[in-house]
Amino acid sequence: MTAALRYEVARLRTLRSTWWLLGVSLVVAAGIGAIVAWAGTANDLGDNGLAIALSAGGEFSPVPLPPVLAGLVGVFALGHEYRYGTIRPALSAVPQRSALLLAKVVVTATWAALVGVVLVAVSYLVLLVFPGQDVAANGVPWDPAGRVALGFVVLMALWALVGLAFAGLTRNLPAAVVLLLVIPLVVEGILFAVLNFVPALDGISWWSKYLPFSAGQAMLATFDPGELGGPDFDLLAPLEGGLVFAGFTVILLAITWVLFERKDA
Amino acid sequence: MATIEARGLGKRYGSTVAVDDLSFEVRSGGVTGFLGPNGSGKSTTIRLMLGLDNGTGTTTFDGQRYGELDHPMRQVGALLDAKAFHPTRTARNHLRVLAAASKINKRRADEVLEFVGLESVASKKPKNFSLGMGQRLGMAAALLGDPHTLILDEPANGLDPAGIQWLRSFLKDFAAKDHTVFVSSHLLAEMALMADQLVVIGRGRLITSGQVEDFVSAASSTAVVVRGPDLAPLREALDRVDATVSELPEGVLQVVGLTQEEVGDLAFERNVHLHGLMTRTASLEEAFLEATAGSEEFHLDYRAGATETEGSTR
Repeated sequence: MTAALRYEVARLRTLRSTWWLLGVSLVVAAGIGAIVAWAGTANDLGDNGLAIALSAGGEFSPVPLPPVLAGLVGVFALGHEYRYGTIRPALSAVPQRSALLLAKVVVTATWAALVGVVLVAVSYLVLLVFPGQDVAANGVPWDPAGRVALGFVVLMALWALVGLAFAGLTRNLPAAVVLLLVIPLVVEGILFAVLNFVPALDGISWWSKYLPFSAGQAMLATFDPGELGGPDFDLLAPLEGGLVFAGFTVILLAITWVLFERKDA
Repeated sequence: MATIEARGLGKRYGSTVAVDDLSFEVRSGGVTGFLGPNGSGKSTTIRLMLGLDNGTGTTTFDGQRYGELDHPMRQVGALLDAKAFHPTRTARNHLRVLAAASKINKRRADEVLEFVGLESVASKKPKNFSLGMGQRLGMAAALLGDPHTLILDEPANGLDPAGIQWLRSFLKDFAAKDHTVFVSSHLLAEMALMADQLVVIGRGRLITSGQVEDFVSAASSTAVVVRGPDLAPLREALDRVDATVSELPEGVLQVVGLTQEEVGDLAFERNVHLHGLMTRTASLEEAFLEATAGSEEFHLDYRAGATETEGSTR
């Protein structure tokens, strides 16, 4: 297992895309932190504003960009191996397939979570130094800011693992990227609308809260739209949503593992 | 030293049998060539040997399967694809990633790059590498762990003549240190210069294995050529023994099935004057084509000017 971990760390570290995806994520996190700080009232971002700033846009983005970029890191973890034929040298160096896949899961998730922590820290630093803000004096309350920041870190790791699983299932890098973007941004949006706005489907509209990416997004929720006069959708609580998305990720990874063990390299 | 033992290797793609109950042995101390027509299952066999493809049978390296070897790259170096690298990861880093998995010192990457003549592009991205440079990088990866066994799939592909000569010399020297070399190639002239032993397959099945000399001398195109003013008595004698005799122009006889000495003795016994007696040895190419006749996956009919394909492509 240590051989597989050493391989995977070296693979991730020596890939240019790892670093430019990190760079883009940092710019996005710092930029959104600055925008939220600028848009907030002089000395009071509000608890929700703080949570949104710490999660790179949080629930106000259909999908926050950093988790998508973490998903790409995950896609590359297996997708590059198939696209460039390096899966064979990799398995020549580490013939134990389960160990290699487990190392990819561990390293990818750890990297994405670490990037998530760094992004939260960078966002917080931007708020600290932004003229007119007084975040340091107000502190960071657990709910919602602390909870959302933790949810953001978990969401980063889960998106990365879903990306890895999509690459493992398709063994095709472009197809995995398309799945990673189309399912959350298009497929889930259509299903959500159909389940909630087609009267004939009223009986099963509750299914919409279990759409995996939407459920994961619940970890970043700071308020219930119904309470503010918006549509009163049936949404999962942050912890429940996180568990649904994690369950979805585990199922995808389990199928990936079976295929990785059985298929030719 | 290391002995590779392949036993009952098999692989199917749907209804197509790619490798069929293939068994052979590769010993150290010489280069073993792996020959077969296009689509005969050479690459699939090599992937099966390394556990990269799932199939039947076992391959052991001194009694251990590849997956059971401790740090396998330090024992068995493999070259499978000429361009199996990420296009923007430098050549040095490509090797360092593999070195990390096998606990090989990072400096070894530069050593093997220098050995294969790629030191000047060590920090270059390999996306613009030629096929030959890709092969050299693949060789560098195979040599990274200083292994005692090399398994190479078409390593001469894309190499220039100097590169091919380098490869031949290196593999012969490597094998001479009681190391093991198993190398596939379709360059038969090259294989004739390099290999000591052969494993020949056709349609996934073993056709023959053994010494190159035995393989070549067993070919029907290896013949004894006899010249003389009157060979009729000799012809009569040859017809009575187990030999195939054909008459060439200008009264020359070609004898298959007897050695030069046996034909000479027969001529002496029959008091036949000879002006010439020599053995025409088949080339490896002739022997190979004879041995694999009918087992090609893809037939070329130059007379018809068309390519006829049998079986299904994979």
